[in-house]
Amino acid sequence: MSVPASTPDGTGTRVFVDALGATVAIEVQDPRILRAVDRVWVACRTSPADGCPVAVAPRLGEDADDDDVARALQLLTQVVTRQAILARAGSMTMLHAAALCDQRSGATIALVAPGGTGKTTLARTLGRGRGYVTDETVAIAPDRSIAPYCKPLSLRRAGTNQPKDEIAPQSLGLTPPQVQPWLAGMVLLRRDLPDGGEIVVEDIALLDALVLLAPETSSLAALDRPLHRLADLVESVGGLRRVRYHDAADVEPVVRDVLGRPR
Amino acid sequence: MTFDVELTPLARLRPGELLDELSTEEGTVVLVGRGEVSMVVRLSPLGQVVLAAVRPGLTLVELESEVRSRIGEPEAGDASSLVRAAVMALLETAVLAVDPG
Repeated sequence: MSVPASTPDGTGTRVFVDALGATVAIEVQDPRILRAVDRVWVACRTSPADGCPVAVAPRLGEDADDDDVARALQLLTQVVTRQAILARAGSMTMLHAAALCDQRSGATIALVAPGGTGKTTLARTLGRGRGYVTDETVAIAPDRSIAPYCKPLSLRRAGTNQPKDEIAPQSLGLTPPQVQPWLAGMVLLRRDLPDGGEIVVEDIALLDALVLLAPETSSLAALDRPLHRLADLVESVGGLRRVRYHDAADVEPVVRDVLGRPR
Repeated sequence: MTFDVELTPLARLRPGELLDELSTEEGTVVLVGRGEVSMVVRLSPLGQVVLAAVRPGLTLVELESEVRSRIGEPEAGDASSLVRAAVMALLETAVLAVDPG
């Protein structure tokens, strides 16, 4: 783990994190946020890099409370993600997905879904004993290797209008990948079954897969021949499947199957 | 994505900003848009013919004629209405663009 560095003007601290294979400097002025960043971004910490993108943490008022810190951390995570995506645009295929890998082979499943529809819950529920690659965005190189993004997980609180809490993966029993992850399979998640409904797994034809996946990509248009790149990726893992479910635990057999695939 | 240009007889239709196009035995999809705002659109069989025919830039009347020459008269329905409906759908998804005449 690297030591935080002072900002160039000496008024704050920079914490460097590895996000999607890019180094991002988190710039913090407030000591309350710095303490929290130190704690929750621990799985992403990396060495300082000159000229890397900077994610500036929100400033807090003197009377800020714990909820304000939580909101600032949540916003900061979004800024880091945005900076990382911009840094990787044009080189990596990026999908809105949680991802888990086998800790020996690196075989990884991308669980593709829009924001707020269960990615974090799946990573948390099925990630123990596996490599936690991300709960947000998967960045895939043309050779199917994956740049992990072991960001803090954003957990909802019970009440409405409450900020999410950013939690370090280790605090939830999740560990970063121990070997290089590579994409072994991808599924599109739809949590639309009623309670007690049996999981449904459907094969999706290639062109339909592209239509469905495109909204769940970032910077797709920045790739060279983006549709061909996405189609090659889908075909290289045996196609896209749609998984309809209610309980995250029911997705376990699908994850186990993909993580058992040889490269 | 929306269009708000009236489709007059002199308006020239042309392909929109297509970032990529992929055809397989299943059909054809195109990627439209720019930057962060992009969308994959799956073309209907008639939509594929319209897109191929319109590439040089054609008025709606010229396009109808070109489509007829490529695939003949429809088995059911009116060719003009069908082409116009296909054009409108492709304009709505920005697969086609229109330059006012």
